[in-house]
Amino acid sequence: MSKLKLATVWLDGCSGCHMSFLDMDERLLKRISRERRPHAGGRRGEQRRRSAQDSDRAAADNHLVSLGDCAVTANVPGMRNSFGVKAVYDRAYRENVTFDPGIPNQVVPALLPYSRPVHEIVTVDVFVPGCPPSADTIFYVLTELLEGRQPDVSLKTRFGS
Amino acid sequence: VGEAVKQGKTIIIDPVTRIEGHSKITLHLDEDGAVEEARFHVTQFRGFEKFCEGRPFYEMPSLMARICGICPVSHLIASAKACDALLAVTIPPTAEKLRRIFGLAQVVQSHA
Repeated sequence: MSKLKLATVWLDGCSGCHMSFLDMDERLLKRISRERRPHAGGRRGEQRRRSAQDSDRAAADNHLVSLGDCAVTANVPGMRNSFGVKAVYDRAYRENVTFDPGIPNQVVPALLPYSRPVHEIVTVDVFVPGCPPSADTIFYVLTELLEGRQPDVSLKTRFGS
Repeated sequence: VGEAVKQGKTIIIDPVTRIEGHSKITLHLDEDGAVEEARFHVTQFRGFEKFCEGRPFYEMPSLMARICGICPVSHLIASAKACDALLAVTIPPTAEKLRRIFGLAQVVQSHA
């Protein structure tokens, strides 16, 4: 069986999905390549060109997985949307602060007007809801992708699980 | 610790590892190279302080657990204690012990 090259990015989550990811423990090592730092930006680009010469068809496909409720629906980060950026900034950085209140405007990135699910920004191939999805669910998804199948997670996880 | 880059009189540590969330540290040096100012920048901000307003108090423990996926139990128990205070109740000794076990279980899981 060929091995996966995996890249993960945390975005605006709590890391709980990454804890589930790591809870795959040694199962993960059997499924992934040890090559360091796969190029996350190469989803449709460099990795595909490189792997197109690979005889293993599964390896020729790159997949973007939207992992966890925050990625799938915006979930917790999206809860600020109904208040607006100014109100959430003011509450945290002005009203609740006794020393030198003020909204940070250096070094840290500004909030976008709304927190959005991943698929509104880029095309997603597989959605895996859950808060967080279990290690078993993530392992199932990776195994299915490696076998060239589209994972069906409908019976394995759910929103808020 | 992450990637430390010295840029003139500022040392930037980005990202800071071993924490939940995203952050960077900037160390501002004086002319002798001594640290004049150290700043901790929180680059992830979700707005819990605001979006909890108006929600049922009994949602808070499970919602606060989502502050951090590495130490959700700490946040859940802290929130549960706040809810106890809201209701002006004292939990029974068994519940107190359960919370302690719950907290210790998190420590075990983190270091397993």
